[in-house]
Amino acid sequence: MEKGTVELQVWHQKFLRYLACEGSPPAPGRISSRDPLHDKSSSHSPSSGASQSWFAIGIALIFSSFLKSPDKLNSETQIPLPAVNMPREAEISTNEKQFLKTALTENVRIDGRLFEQYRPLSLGFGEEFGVAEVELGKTRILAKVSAEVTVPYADRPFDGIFQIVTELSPMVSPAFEVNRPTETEVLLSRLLEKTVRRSGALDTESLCLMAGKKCWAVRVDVHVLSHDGNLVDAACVAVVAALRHFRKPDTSVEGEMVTVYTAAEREPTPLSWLHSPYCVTWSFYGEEGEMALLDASWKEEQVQVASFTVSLNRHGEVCQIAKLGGVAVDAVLLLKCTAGATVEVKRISEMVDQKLEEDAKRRDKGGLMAELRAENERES
Amino acid sequence: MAEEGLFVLPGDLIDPSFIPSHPKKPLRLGPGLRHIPPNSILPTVSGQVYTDNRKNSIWVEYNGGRYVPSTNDQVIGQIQRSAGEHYYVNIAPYASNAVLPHLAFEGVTKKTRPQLNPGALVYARVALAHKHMDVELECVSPSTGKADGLGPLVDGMVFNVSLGLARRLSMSKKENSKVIVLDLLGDAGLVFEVVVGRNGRVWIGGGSVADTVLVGRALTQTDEEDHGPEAQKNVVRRLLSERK
Amino acid sequence: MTISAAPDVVLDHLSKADGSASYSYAGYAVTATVNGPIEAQRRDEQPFEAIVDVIVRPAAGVGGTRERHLESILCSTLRHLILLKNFPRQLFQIALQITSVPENDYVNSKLMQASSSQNLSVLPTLFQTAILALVSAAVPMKTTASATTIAIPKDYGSPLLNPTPRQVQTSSSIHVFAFTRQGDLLLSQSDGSFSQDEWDVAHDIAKDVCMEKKREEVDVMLDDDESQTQNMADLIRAEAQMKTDSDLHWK
Repeated sequence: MEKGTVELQVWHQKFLRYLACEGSPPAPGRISSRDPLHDKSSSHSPSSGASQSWFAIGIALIFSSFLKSPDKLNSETQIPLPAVNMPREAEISTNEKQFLKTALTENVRIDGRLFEQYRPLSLGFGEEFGVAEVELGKTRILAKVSAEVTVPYADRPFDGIFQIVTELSPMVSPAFEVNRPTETEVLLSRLLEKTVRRSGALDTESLCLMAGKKCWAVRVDVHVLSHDGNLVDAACVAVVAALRHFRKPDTSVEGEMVTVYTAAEREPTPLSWLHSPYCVTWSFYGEEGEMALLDASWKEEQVQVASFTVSLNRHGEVCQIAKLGGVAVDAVLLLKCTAGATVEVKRISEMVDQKLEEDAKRRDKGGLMAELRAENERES
Repeated sequence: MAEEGLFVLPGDLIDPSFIPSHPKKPLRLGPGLRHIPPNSILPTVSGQVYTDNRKNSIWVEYNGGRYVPSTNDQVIGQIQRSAGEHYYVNIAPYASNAVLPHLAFEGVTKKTRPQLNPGALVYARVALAHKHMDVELECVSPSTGKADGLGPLVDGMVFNVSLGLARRLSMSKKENSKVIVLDLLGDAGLVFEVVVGRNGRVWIGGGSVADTVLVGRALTQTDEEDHGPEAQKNVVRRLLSERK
Repeated sequence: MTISAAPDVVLDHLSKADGSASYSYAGYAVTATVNGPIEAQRRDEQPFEAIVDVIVRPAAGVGGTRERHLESILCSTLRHLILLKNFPRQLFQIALQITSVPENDYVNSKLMQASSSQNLSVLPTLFQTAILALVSAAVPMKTTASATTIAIPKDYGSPLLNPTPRQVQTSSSIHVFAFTRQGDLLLSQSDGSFSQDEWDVAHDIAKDVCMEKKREEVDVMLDDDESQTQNMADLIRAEAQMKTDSDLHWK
């Protein structure tokens, strides 16, 4: 608990130092030559003019988001550990821990990836609308969206209800027990919440049917089927893709009457979607967290000294940044990680867009959908 | 019906003519079979039936599932804790711990026994596997008093493979197992040591970090993608070309 | 709503579990993992046999009474198949995740709605997936089994195999049966009003679908016609054989 507060102060000091010396290129200082991002093309080098301004924005963003919600950050480090009486979670041996660490100092990852290399990411959709399955290496996640008409919250009469629910079941590992959230699970659901819900990706006002009386409640259930590291990134892709794929029943309002049409009566309509944020997670290794790895596998996660998740959309707008606990990591490295993340997010974003398009084409044989949609619009 | 490698599901009837009948030796039932008195022998898993007329034995060959200890298997265990005169050792995730007496190492006394911390790895033989008892391990041969390669594993890296591959790697006849990656890598001049645990854990060490990773990747790829000898050659060729 | 004609099976696709299977048929889809034999908790363990723990999770919403009901039915059925006596003090854990249920295009369904007929119609898919996952995990079993749903329509029409939700709605009773490959009845659950004769008819149809045919019969059937319904026992055999063949490619 105390750790979180102390770290926050360290953070602030570092940023202040950077804000103060913004004009001069920051000395690479603690970034070792092994740093993968440092070896990248010059466009990411801190000394180039274009990235200079980007850096300033980045700093401001991070800074403001941290200033605004220091209490949030603290509360997140306060998760109680569950009582342990289930089968022990598998732990990796001392030999493996030591080997993983040594290998990283020699620039080697055990699966042969580069430090800043993602595992193969694939996305598939189910027969029905609103189901997306994501595979990231051996991590597998299924997201399912459902909607029903309900009464809006009294204090938000013009908004619909939007909920993301994650539960790690014994399917992932016998060490998880039903209805007893673990730390992994709480962190996962909070990060998804911050990334997708609080960034306003879904227009909740469009879910309102009759102010204060009737609205849609949209719910995303995230099912983790297999956990081989980096649940957050994979789950985020699944949630965003499932929501964009989802179609809710069409409705009409006449006076006090809300009519919900079945799929046979009227073609269901997509949700009002504003932007697609994706998470990118880095994990840090070494005494002072000087080595950054993208998309850590489960074994790699077991030896990380800190991790850092940044959420952004393809325009590079940062929605959320979380570095929860662990050792303090140099700010320049974090900024570089964020820069690396923008590239990664563009790639993920293109992949999701393409898959959604392919699926739409597959369903829309002979342009029938477009015709029906036009008909819907005329009627309403 | 009587052919080697016949596919069976649990509960299938095995043709009596297929079951070896040696005049003197008792019939030995291998894994995946059960005997229902008086004379039914039924498979309990899905796999292929094989027989050995010389040893008068019959068994089901299959891959997959969880490691279930069996006496004389050599396994790689992870020390969980030490209590009293024993180490408690994990040989499969979430399974009950096996017991390794402090004195079951080569030439040790109470004073000279190895100090193993939780998380350390040992290569051990299953001394006792009975369903009503805790599994017992030993790192010394009870007859010769020698370690025979058993004992604590220092440094190196563990890679998880399927039980089938672990079995093939520990086969005495290399040509039957059709795993040639290790030989190919050795021929290519890589230096490494391999320890195979029947519980699906393979320890690789003794060489440089990069080579250890390369050997591990070659093994896991061979395992996951069901590579035959030709494909294994390709994997090795590709991995070696990546090596600087 | 499209119902895929052929059942779709994937075995052993989740690397972390001892065994896993995904199975979809008639609009229902379930993914299952099996872990075991693993250490049972002290308070649960049985000194002379293994315990079986079945967890059913709905596609949307939180699990409730309906899932507990399904779990207890599945648990008591699967106990008869697994060789529990070989693994005293151990635990077999079977986690079943429903990933898709057929939608009824003519009704707007509520999320938490649970009528017992809906309950039952997902049961065969759960059962079938559990069996496939157990085979994939090489859990020692006495035999394999399969299950199916039969609906008896209100208008005394012919019984329907694997009914759609709309057919379930308009039927007077639905029946779920599970048989071992040898044709022994393992599970029978019925809902609605029906006569003994109707039950007998449903029983016979289900048995025909779930029981493995003898070789000679299969040959005759192949000549019959193409609308032959999928035999569940054959499906399990084919999938298991495919897995074994690829696992033992080196033999």
